[in-house]
Amino acid sequence: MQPDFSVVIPTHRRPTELLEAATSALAQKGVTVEVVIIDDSPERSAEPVVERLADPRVSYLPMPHPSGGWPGRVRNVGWPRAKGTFIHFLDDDDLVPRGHYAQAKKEFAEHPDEGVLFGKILPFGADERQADEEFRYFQRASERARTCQRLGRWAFTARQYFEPTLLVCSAALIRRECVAALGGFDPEVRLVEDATFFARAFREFGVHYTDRVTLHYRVGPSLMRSKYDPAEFSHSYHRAHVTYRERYGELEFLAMKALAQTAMRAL
Amino acid sequence: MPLLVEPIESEGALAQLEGEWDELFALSSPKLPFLSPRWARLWLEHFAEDSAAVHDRLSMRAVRSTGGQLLGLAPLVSTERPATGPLRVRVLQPIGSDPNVTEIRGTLCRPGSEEAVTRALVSQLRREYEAWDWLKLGGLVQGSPAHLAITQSLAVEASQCVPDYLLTLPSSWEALKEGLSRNMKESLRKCVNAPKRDGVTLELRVDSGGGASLERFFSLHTERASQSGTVRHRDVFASPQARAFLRAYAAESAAKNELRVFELWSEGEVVATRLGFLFQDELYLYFTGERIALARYSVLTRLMAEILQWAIAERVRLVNLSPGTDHSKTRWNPEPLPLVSVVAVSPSARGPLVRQLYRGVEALRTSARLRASPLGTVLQLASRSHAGFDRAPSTPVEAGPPPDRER
Repeated sequence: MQPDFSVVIPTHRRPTELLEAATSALAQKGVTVEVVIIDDSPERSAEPVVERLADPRVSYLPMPHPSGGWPGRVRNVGWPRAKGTFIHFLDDDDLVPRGHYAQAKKEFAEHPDEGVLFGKILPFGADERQADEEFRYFQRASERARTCQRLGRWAFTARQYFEPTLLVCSAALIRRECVAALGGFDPEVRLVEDATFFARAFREFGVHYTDRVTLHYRVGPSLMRSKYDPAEFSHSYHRAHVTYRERYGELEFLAMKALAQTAMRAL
Repeated sequence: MPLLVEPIESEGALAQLEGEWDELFALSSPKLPFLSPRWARLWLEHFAEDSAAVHDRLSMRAVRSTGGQLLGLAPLVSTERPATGPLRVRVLQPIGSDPNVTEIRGTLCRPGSEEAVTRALVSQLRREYEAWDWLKLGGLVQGSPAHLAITQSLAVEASQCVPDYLLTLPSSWEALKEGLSRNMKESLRKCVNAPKRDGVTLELRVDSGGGASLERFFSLHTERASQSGTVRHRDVFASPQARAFLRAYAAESAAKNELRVFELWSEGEVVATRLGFLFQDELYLYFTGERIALARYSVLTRLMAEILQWAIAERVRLVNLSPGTDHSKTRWNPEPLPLVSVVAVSPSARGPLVRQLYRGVEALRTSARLRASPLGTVLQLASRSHAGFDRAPSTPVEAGPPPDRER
């Protein structure tokens, strides 16, 4: 039977957090869920977690060749195995809010023309200062997303391509056919691979923003413990912009950029 | 270990939580009806306002471990006056801002998690400081780690303490009496002998169904409030809204076998009554009512003695005599649980300004001299639909019932 949700979790040496992340997905009520865990550690750090979960809904996939810190590539190994109507790319330390999937299924049904759904991000963690900073960032991101929700797909697209990201990977859900149509994550992008992936998805399939918490986001080291590198960050966005130009033309690209830098900024 | 603070902002989310909330409530002690899921749900149905002047919005927080276990609940509402506009005052406060129907407004915690839950809750609420002008939290044990967690994290205004009185029952009525003062023993003898001498018979009946006994309670509660020449008691259930709420709560409690209406009958009529809520081996004693004509026989003292004998026979472990200090409680030698409510002003730019403005208006509104002036009339009219954020103007603090309730 086709599950409603496929939860694709790339993981790298975080067994305790992984257990909590997978449990939060498996505990969702009123929907059917499968969890695909892709282990990017050479020593198979997630294997004991999968054994402990002992749940037939969980499948385990060790990376044949660990990516060395390329989360998009790891997710690309996972999603082709997903059978669910919707895919959730959940990071191994984040948590799915209770009741999220049931509500999301309803919201997707109400918005059949939208490919992506995301909502508020609530940071948590032992580092209070970092949690405070992240909270402020995502509070502002929510306000910006609410504005986009009133204006439509183009506003989301412009903001996601040319402004700080509206979301992190785990906060969004996407229809499986959309992931397939996009060909998954860009394997040549190491940083902000999620931001550029969802920018493409917004442009191509539309997005619905829901004003409720869709993610408990753990503050701390990133999924693959990648350090922020401004040069690589710029490269990732540059590559996304080049791809945009090639696919949709220079005119649309410039129009989107102008929209982001004028009207959206004013809003 | 970090904890999650989950917002509960819709009726659907509240309904989904009710089972878990019940389990958490069952673990708590002392068990306060005001912290049960039923109380919160029915309170929102009956008391929450949604008008242009006032808007109450569910703004609860559930605190969980990262493994998903529910560790604590803060049943909060966000009250805004007026309902919209940049000049509205926004107060985040516990469910139960009413004319003292809700005696204690607090937070529910899994035993042993109080401090961690409070810290996580306060951290999250502090992060959201732009959404409220001031925050009220109640039912905190004075000096407890949870209380300290709040005072260390937020700029808290001076708080008032109202003790809740808890009586741990011994195995027999005689053992209980042994520990009482000589005066109290004499009072007990008097409330038995005086009616007997006059040929007045008094009999305890315990009703667990509500209905007619609850209506008798309303009647006697009102009668008691109308009594003059003694300590004045407020009629807490004077409004149709408060009565409708209690009827609904009593009906649901009766269905779960948690309602007990204690009545003292004499010559075919009820002369004293008290509502009780029985949670496993704990009994919470709520408001009373009495027939004024028989007050000279200290029927409420007699009723209390009968209730305690009943409770001992029923193997009740703990009787909560309710909050507020008065002789009618302290003479039973209960343990006081010092509860405080705190008010913290938002660290935002507008928080302190709005708070000062509100306090100024409240001071003007309650000023006796001003009341007679045209400005006072305007202020009274402006606030007629809503008696301030506490909605309990005649009580000093939200946890404080009128003094000397039982005597």
